[in-house]
Amino acid sequence: MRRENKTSTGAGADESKSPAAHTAELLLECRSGSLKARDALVRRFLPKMQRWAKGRLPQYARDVAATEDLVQNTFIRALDHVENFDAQREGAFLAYLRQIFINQLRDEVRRHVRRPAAEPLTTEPTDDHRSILEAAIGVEALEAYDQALQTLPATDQQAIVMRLEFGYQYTEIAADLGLTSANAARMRITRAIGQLAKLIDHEQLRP
Amino acid sequence: MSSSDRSIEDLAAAIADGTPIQWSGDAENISARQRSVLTLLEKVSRVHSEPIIETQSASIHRWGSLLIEEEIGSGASSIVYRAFDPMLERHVALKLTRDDAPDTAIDRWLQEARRMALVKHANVITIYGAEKIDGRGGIWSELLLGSSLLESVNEDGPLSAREAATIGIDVCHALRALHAAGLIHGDVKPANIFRETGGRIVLLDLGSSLDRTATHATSGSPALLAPEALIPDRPTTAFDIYALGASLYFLVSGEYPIDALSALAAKRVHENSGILPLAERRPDLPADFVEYIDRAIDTDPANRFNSTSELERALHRFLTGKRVISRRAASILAIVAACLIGIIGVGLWTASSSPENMDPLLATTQLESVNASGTTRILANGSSVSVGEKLRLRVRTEKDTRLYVINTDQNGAAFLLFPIPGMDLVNPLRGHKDYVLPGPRDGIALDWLVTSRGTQERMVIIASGAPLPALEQELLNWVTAGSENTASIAIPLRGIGGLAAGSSTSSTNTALDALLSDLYSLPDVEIRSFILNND
Repeated sequence: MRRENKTSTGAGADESKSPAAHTAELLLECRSGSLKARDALVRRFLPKMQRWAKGRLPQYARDVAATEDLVQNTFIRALDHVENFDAQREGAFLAYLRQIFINQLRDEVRRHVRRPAAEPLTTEPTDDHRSILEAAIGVEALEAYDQALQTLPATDQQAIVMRLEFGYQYTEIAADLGLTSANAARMRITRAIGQLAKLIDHEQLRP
Repeated sequence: MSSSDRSIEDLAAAIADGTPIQWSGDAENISARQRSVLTLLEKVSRVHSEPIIETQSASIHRWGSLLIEEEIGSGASSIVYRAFDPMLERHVALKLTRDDAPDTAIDRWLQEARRMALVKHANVITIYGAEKIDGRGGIWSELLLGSSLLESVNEDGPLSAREAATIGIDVCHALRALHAAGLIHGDVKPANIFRETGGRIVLLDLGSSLDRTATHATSGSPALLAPEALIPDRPTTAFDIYALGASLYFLVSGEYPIDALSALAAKRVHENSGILPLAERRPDLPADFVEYIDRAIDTDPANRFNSTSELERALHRFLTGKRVISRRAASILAIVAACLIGIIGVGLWTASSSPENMDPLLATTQLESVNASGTTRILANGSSVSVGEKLRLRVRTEKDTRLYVINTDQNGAAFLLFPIPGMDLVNPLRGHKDYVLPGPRDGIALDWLVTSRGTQERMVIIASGAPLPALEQELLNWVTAGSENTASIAIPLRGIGGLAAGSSTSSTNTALDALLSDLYSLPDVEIRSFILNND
């Protein structure tokens, strides 16, 4: 079976064009209504989002189809409102997708919890409703992390999300944030993590 | 900054780097609250970076002792699954023959596993095992996170020449290991070159690998097959050099040198229209890079690079050049170093070899640091060091080797850390021995000591199987570490803005890069560099 797909996005043919510049260009074109740019954005970010989403999905929804459904809905919502999204940076777009996904997931979990009509609404998720991340750190701790993250300056939030959650390399983050070097990106993220650590509500962490 | 703030910053850096937090030494200064919060952030990072471990109920079925979880790829004769090994509690990539595979195909699989097992190299996928169960052959290997370069180019567009050259160097390392084992890969292509999250380049799928001593049948991907590979004959390393050149051509252009879906079509293209020169597809590429790719895919194997070592040196020349290092170029060098982290970090050091004969490794190295409480850690590219830490380099030589260790900083100063006059250990280091550098003085083992803070430092390690008189002459003028402080058990390694040992002529990064540029073209010389943060 021949798996090579010779189709390239077209962008990036310029020697000086980085992936970050490529994303900015696609976002601009997408806002102008380009379906080709919309497709290219989905191709670029879908695998990253699908992998990231698996850590956030409850066990009951962790099969491939459910992951794909939720992630694809995230893209549909994001791109349908892309005209409201001003930033052109990759990290900002990723954070935008991430937030839409989390909001959508909360709605989905609420619906699932309510489904057995005879049962009272529970506030404490069962194991079946816990994600891998929640199982690893605790439901309230994840809530505390997400809340504290929201209080950081936007670029610091995005840098942390890119590095800790999506595994971007320092060079990629530096290019996206317009920093001069990978080391500058590392220092920026280190400081942001230190700041985040101060903001997390310790009371919400389980022993 | 308080010692507590300093500790938090160090721990935050470890979280950012994805290295395990060491709850010892300075970290003892921080409170239980801070510790629990940092632990939380470390777990957030770790959960996202590890393969998703799903519950056993998520498994599709078993194959032997392995729990199959999901399909992650497929080919004409095989399917690749992510699987879980419950005995060793780790995820693996399991490649299974299809249900209808004939016994002959399964036998080929087991041969493939045996061939793969011959090669142990950081840039070649690691095989854990192979078996035939219920009529299906299978090979299981390390599970890689990241994407193939085919996927990268298709998703993000072509790469820059510099990024492609950096990748090409790592693939040269992988191929050299294969060729040294008497194998030809036979199917080097972007789909088989994988970039792990973190940057490690891994060559996959030795399923088409060929024994150099046997006559081969045509196999591999037609668009990347060397013209002579289309005719059954004894395979040569030139096959792989052509395919690597064609892969690099694809990485920078998004297209292959020829468009052919079958061996017959490829043969026709080579006989008629031939290869479309890279310069016509990408006229904006640097001329020297284009020249190297064109040479690698020359239709006449006699005109190609003689070996992967020669191709690697050409790519190094392209990356380093003999020019003053600009800020941009300096950051590119840092990127090159980042790609070498896997090699240095796991203590492996790939060999440079003579063009035709695959020499054994010159040396294996591992840089370590020891903090005030005596805790030892292995340093990799991007690791942080701090004042008071002692550094040492463990070396295992495979043959007589001349070794030089150089430390440079962002201010342009360069210092020689080994060999140091007056020390017991001198070049050449004898083969098949273990050493710890800088070694003893008057029988007392010494380390390098970080004496002051700076920003970023580059460690460069040069090994040579032969004397390097030009380098030796140049190094006579360089500052060496620890020329004073003879009573100390540690040799001072100056940090930026801090103590400079001795007062002789200072050297510069520019001089070092000019030196390295010359050395890259020499056979039997290995050069590795990596960055340490000393903030």
